[in-house]
Amino acid sequence: MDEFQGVLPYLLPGILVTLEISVGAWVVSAALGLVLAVIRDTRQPLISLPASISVDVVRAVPQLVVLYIVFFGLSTLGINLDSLTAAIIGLGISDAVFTAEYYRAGFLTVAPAQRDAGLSIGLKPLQVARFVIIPQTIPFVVPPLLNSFVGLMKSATLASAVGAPEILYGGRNYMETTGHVAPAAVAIMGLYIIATVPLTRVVRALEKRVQLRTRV
Amino acid sequence: MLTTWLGILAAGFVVTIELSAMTLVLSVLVAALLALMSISPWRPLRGIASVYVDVFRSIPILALAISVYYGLGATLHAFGITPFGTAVAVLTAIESAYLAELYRGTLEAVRRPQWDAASSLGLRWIQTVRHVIVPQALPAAIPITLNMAIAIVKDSSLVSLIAVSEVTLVANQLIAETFQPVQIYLLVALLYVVLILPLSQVSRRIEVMVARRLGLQQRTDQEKALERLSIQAEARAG
Repeated sequence: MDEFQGVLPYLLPGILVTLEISVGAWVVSAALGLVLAVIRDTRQPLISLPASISVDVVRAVPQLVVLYIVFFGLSTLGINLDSLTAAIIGLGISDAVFTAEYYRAGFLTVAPAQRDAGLSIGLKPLQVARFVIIPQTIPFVVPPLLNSFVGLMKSATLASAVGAPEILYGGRNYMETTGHVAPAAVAIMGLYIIATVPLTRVVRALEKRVQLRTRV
Repeated sequence: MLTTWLGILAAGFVVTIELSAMTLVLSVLVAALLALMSISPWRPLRGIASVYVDVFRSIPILALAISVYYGLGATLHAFGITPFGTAVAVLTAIESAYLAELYRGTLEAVRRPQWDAASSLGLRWIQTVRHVIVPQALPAAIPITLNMAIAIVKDSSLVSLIAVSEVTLVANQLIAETFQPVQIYLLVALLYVVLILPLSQVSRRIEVMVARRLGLQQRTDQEKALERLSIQAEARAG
């Protein structure tokens, strides 16, 4: 028990940073993903094709490599980001290519006739997206977006690789200073289990509700 | 210059592929076992499977990798287990939990009357699973397994942080000598894209083929979109 008390000072500040990274990256991902999905949905090859290609390419690159490109790559180009910002942007971008797919699948749940109806009353394609398609998509994309948040909480550990003082970074500090590994390891994994298991349950329950609603 | 770098990185990428292949094979075995346990009529087995899946889906790969490497690295080394072996074990522990949940979905998608029909023929549980349920679940499991292979290749980059010389670590070493992070990381990204893009195309094709074969094309677009949503959401490892 004493050992666990020794761990806490190392981990507590990290919890806050982990939350900052995951919430920040989530916002980036949700916003950028929506932009990408709307662009792909325009069916104007000049802009939708580059969007589809970049989504497919970024989907194939590991989060860690995207993070390194954002952090180390940009700094050699003269853009210096601190590790926290780099983590938020890097993890946000590599998650956005997945949220873009959630939105796109969500758009598909709206009957195509509604798009035609919107266009026929004189709305522009972007207005159709804004007033007709997106509002109806929200209930469908909420569960996968929450899932994506759970994923980002876990991915936030990658930020330790570029020196952002999140929870695993604190844990490694403790391991290296004290030479004890188990207390930090157990505490970190325990915290993750406590945080993500209930969230995952909530998401699953929401998913069921959405599915039931559409069956009717 | 670029070709020399590409040669060095390609050697690292071979390790990435070996690492991913071993992880995939082991994960498929562990996940299949866990999925069968989770649909079995024996409560303790179901309990073990469900706890395993919950726990290992919650733990970040990097946290587990670093804990095992720092905590048990010396002991494992004494037993002749390299960081490569540790990496395979850590990745398998986590990826199999995700895969088990997806496999369970395919097993549960086989409709109830199939179980009833089997039991009315006098088949026991294990026979029903073997001759009735698994054969029907298998087609849907193929694209899922391919998607998992892709996730594993991507996640394998994380073990660069526990000294496994796969492509990401090789890239970092190369950058330490050349100070050219942009070109080198883009080359690394290119290697991943060249491997993964065709894989994901194949997996998409198979998904469509399987859906046709199972006669699922009568479903509405809305239902299909919903299904994709939940599959994609679950296929995301952390």
